Amino acid sequence: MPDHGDRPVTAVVELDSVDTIYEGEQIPAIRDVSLRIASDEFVCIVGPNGAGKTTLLETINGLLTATRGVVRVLGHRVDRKGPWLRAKIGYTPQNFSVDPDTPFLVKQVLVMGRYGRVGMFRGLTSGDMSSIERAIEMMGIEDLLDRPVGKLSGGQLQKVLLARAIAKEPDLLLLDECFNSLDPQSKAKVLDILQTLNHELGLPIIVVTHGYFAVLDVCDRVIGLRDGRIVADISHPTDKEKEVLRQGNLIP
Amino acid sequence: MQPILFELPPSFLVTSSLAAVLAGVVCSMVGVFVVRMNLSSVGFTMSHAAFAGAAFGLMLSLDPLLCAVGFSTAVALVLGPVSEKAHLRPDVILGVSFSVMLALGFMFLSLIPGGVISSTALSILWGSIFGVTLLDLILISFLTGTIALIVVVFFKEFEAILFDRKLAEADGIPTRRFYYAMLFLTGLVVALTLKIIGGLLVFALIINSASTVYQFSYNIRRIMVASPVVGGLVCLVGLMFSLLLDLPVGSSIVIVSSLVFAAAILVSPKRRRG
Repeated sequence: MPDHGDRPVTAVVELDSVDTIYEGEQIPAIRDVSLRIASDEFVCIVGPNGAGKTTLLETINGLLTATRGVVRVLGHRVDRKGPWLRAKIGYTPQNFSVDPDTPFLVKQVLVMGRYGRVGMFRGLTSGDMSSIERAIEMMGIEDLLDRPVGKLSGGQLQKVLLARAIAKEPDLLLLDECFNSLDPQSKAKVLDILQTLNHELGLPIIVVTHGYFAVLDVCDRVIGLRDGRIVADISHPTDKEKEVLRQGNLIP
Repeated sequence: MQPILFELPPSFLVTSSLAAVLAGVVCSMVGVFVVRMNLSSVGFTMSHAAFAGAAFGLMLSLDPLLCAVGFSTAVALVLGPVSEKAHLRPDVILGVSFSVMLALGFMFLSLIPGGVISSTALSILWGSIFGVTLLDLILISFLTGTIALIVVVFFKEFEAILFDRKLAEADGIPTRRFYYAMLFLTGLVVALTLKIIGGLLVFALIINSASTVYQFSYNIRRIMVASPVVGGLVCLVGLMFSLLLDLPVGSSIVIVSSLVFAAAILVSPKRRRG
C-alpha cells in the first residue's frame, strides 16, 4: 500500500522543526531541529556533553520518537515505517557494553546484523554470509570470531559493532562515538573504511564524535549542536572555521 | 515401610514421570529467556498469579486450571507493558504485585465454601503429580511443542533480542511483540505446570535449570538446547527422590534443581578467576 504521506527520495534524512523530549522530562533534548542530509554526504555531528547529539541520531532512526515535527529517512516518515526503515539503517550505539558472561560468540553477534534486513520467516542466504565475511575482512577481526563477546576489550567490541553495522549493507550509516576505545591506528583505519564506504559505494554516513576530530578533515559537513539546537552547519570546514567551532566549545 | 516408588502401578509411574519431564523441559525452555531478559520478577509474580487464579476457581467452583491460566496470562499482559512504560525497578514490581497475588490466593482459599481447605486447594500450593490426567499431559505436550516451534520459527528475532533488545530494535526487529509473546508464553507455562510443581515452587524450576546451563557456555544456541535437557533430567531425578523418600514432589524437584545449580556455580568455568 503506498504511503501517501511520504515523498519521493530527495534527501536521505530530512528533519522539519523536530523536538524530542525524553519521558519524564520537560525540556526537549533537541529542539526545533531542521536538517537535510543528501544521499551521498558524510556528516559529522559535534557538540559538548548533553548537546543532543545521541538524541538527534536516535530520533533519525526512530529509537526515540519526535514529540514535534516530522522526521523522514530515505523518503519515508520514521513514525510510520520505523522497523522497516531501521532494517535499512546501520547503527552503532555509544558506550555499548556487555556483561562478561554474555552467552554470545562474536560470529553470532555479527550474523545478527543482517537479521532485520533478512526479515521474518527467512533464513540467511549465501549472499548474506558473503556480506558478513566482507565486513569481517574489512574490519580485520577474523581472529575474534570464536571469542565470547563479553571477553573482548572495549576497542575490539567497537570493531565488532562496526562490522555488524557494515555487514548489514545499510542505506544509511549512523555511528555514535564509534571511535571511542579504539587505539590511534584503529581510529585511522576505521576512518579510512568510512571514507571508502562513502566515496566508493556512495553510502551516506552520519558520525557523532566527541574526541576524534580527524573526521572533520575528511567529512563533507560538520553540524554543531548546543543545548539541543543546531548552532553550526559548515561544509568542508577550513582551519579558520574549525577555530570558530573550537571557540564556541563545540570541539576541544 | 517400603518407599512409595515400589507401591505405585507402572502406568502411574510412567504418567507422573512423563509429566515431570515435560514440565522440566517446558519450564527450562522459557527459563532461557526469563533469565537472560531479567524477567525473574515478572515471572515470579506470574507464578503466584496462577496460584491466586486457581484458588479463585476453587472458590467459585470453576476449573482451577483455566482460572490459573487466565490470571497468569492476564498478569503477563498487564505487568509487561506497565513495568516497561513506568520504568519501575524489578524489585518494586515484585514487592507490590507478588504480595498482592499471594494475599489474593490465600483470601480465595479461605473463602472456599465449607471453610475447609480441600486437598485440591493444597495441591495448587505444593503440586500434585499423581493427580495429573491424560488431558494434562496432552496440554503440556502441546504447549512444549508450540513453544519449541515458535522459538525455531522466530529464532533470529529471539536471538537478537536476547543479545541486546535496543540493538535488535535498531536493526528493525519489532522487539515489543516478541517480548510480550515471551511473557504470555511464560504465563501459560506457569499455569499449566502448576498442578505438577505447585504454585509456590514452579518459578524456581523456570530459573534454576536455565541458570545452571548458563554457567557452562558462552553460546546461546547450546544453552537453548541444553537447558530443556537439564530441566527434564532434574525433574525426573527430583520425582524419583520424592517417591523414594516420600517427600512432596514439587519441593523435591526444586531442591534437586537448586543443588544442581549450586554445584554448577562451584565448578563453572565462568566463575573461575585468574
